[in-house]
Amino acid sequence: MVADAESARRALVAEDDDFSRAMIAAMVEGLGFLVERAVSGRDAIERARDFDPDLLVLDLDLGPGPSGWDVLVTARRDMPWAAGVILSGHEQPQVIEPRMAQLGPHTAYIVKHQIQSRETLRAAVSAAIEGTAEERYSLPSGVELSAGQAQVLRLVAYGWTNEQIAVRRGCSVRAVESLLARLYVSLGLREVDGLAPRVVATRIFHDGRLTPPERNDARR
Amino acid sequence: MRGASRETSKPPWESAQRQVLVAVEFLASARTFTVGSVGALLALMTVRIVMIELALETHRYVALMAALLAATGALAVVGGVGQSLVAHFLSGRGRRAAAMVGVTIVAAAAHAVTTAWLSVELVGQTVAVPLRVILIAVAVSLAAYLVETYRKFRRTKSNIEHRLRDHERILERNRLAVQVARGRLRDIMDRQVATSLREIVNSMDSSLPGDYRSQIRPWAHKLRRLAVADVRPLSHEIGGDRSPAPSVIDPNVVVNSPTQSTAWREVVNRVPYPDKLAPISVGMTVFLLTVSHWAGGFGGLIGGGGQVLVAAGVCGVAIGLAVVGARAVVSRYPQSLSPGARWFLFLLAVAIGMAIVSPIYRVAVGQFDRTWWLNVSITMGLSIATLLCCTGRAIVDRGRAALASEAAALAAVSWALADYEREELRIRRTIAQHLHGHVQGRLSMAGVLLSDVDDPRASDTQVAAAVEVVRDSLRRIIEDLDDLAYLEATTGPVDLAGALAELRAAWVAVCDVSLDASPATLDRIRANQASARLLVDVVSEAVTNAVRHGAARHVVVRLEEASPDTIQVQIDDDGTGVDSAWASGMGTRSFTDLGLSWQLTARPDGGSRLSVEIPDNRARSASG
Repeated sequence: MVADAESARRALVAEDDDFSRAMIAAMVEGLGFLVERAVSGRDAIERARDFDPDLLVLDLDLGPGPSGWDVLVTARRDMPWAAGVILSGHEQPQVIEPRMAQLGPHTAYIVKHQIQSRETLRAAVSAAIEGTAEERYSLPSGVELSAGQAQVLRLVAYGWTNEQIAVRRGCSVRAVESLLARLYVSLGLREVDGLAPRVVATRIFHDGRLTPPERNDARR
Repeated sequence: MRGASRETSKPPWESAQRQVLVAVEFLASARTFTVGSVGALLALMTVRIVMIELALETHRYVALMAALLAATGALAVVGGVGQSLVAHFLSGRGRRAAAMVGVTIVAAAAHAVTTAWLSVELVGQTVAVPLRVILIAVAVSLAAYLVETYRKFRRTKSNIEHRLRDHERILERNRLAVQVARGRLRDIMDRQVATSLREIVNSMDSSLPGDYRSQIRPWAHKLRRLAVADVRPLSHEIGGDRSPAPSVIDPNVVVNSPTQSTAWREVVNRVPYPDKLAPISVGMTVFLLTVSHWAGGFGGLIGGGGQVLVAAGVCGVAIGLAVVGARAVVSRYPQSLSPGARWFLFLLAVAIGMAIVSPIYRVAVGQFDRTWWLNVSITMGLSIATLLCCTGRAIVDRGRAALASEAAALAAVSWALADYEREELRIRRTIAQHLHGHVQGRLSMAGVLLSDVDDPRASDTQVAAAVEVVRDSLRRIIEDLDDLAYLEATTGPVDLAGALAELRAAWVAVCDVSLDASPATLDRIRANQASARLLVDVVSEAVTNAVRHGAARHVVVRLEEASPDTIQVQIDDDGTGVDSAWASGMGTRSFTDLGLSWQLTARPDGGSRLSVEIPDNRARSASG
């Protein structure tokens, strides 16, 4: 499962002010996550691609360029299961970012000066992450995948080896192999030799777009 | 969805309005024609009649005068209407002026006929109106037209001069006001934020590690309160709407300054030339007039030989004076006179010379009489009027040059004013953003860090470490605030290509930003710091809006030189069109605040187009 294994919980923290970034990263680490730090919107998007975070903790204002919300939306095109916690000094973020009028599922918003303690952040993170593991995602072809399968499909598509995937998920290589086998069956690919289905699966991931089945609004 | 009041294509009523204005202006000067001509006619007739009456010793001229006045009034109206119609229907200054002269002649001739008839009816004899009087009327009205033109010039020029002085004063006052306002800002930031921070740092410095635990809660509380109750409102106040610091700047100057210099240029171009036909016709008239009465005056000379000699000598002197005078006049205005005009000037000078000399001669030979002297005075007056017409071109040219340079100076000051206010706005925004984003955020986080170790389970080392970290960061915040308060207006030259490349790089994963501009346009912008900075600001804001409001994935930025004063920036995106927040002004307010004219439309094939006009006066120096 995505967010259960202790060693597999990863978070990306993006904040342009260094002191605040250090503070927030420390707090998120304190909640048991492996933290990657990013200094800008672009940096965050690039790191997310390789880091494969389960959680994104993003300051809304990241300087010139994409905002924290832009980062969340962009990252979720690839990783719709990622939980998001947005921080900012604005009490009403939709005043500057109208799309935040509707946060959507698995997204929390914290006003920085209302953080009383680490507990505030922990509660927000829990609220955001809760239920991400149970989500199901469908490809354009109509095939439905569990969150775990979708995540592994993505890792395969980005060239991760089975060993790397095993480390990421905190399980054995054999577990990964059997998960992949089941995945290929779901996708309708025949496992003649190990390589070809992998390539096809990669293409399926990059061509298609994973969406949660009940949300049909065309989120780009 | 439009900002300021400019549109990219003018509505039809605006050009019709302008045509009407031009026609009215011409009408106003045409009226001078008519009034001048008819007035002159009337004056001449009155004088002539009075003299005749005096000679005849009758007193019925009063009735005739009254009748003439009425006739004059009626014909003035007819003449005025005729000239208005001419102004409206004829294009081309030459044709228009010729037609005006024609109308005046017709009106004057009608007047003459009416006069003759009335005089026969009321006084019993014709008071003849020779052709020359009609032509006199033409000359006088043309001179009046010229005088009117010149007066308009002077008015416009002094208008511009006043505005120039005003603007220079305002600019100076603004510079001072801005210094004062910056000083106030520094004071406020110091008093409201830095001092409190220093207090907390001092309290941390002077506490022993053993006392930390008891101090943590009050410190955290103070920091949090500072963030919310002091820094946040301060950042709103500084970055808020059209802050009052440069309050003396006239917003119309700033908002309209890109169009100001164009408007003044239009005024300068609109001041008309006196037409070619006018000086030529008047010159010919006067010449013939003078020659005719001069010939008449010499009628009695043919007899005496000695008188012929005297006459010849007098003529010689007259011609000599005329040549000297003509050369003096011609050398003063050499450039703007055509060869034809110069010839007439010369002949004119000769005529003036004769007109001066002949009464002297007449007195010398004892043939002086008042009516004749009157004719001579009129001739002289007409000669001067013609001279004015011929040299009118030169006067107009010099006036135009003076106006143009005044207008340019005014435009330059207006530009400086506008740039200055924009720069100020930019600084305030930077300060406000820093306060809101960094200072407030850091203070909140510092508060959280302290609250975290405000726990009996935390070890002494953890507490000490936390206090250390917070103290360091507070010191850094104080330093940053000091730097911020002294933020100077221009922070170095703008690397246009670099800035745009950075922008593109920042958005690369979210939205593709491409630039479509000719190298010439980019060079032009690069040469002007203020425009380059504006362009980068505008493009940055526009891309943010396109992504934020339209979820765009591709944005194309096109730059075009819309006019010598402006560059049009057009941003097309492939998003979902213009949402209600965008349409209601979110995101575009900064353009309006900067005094830029913009327009936001949804494109028919999806996406949106934002057009912003950036003022860029080519005449400004590269240092901005």
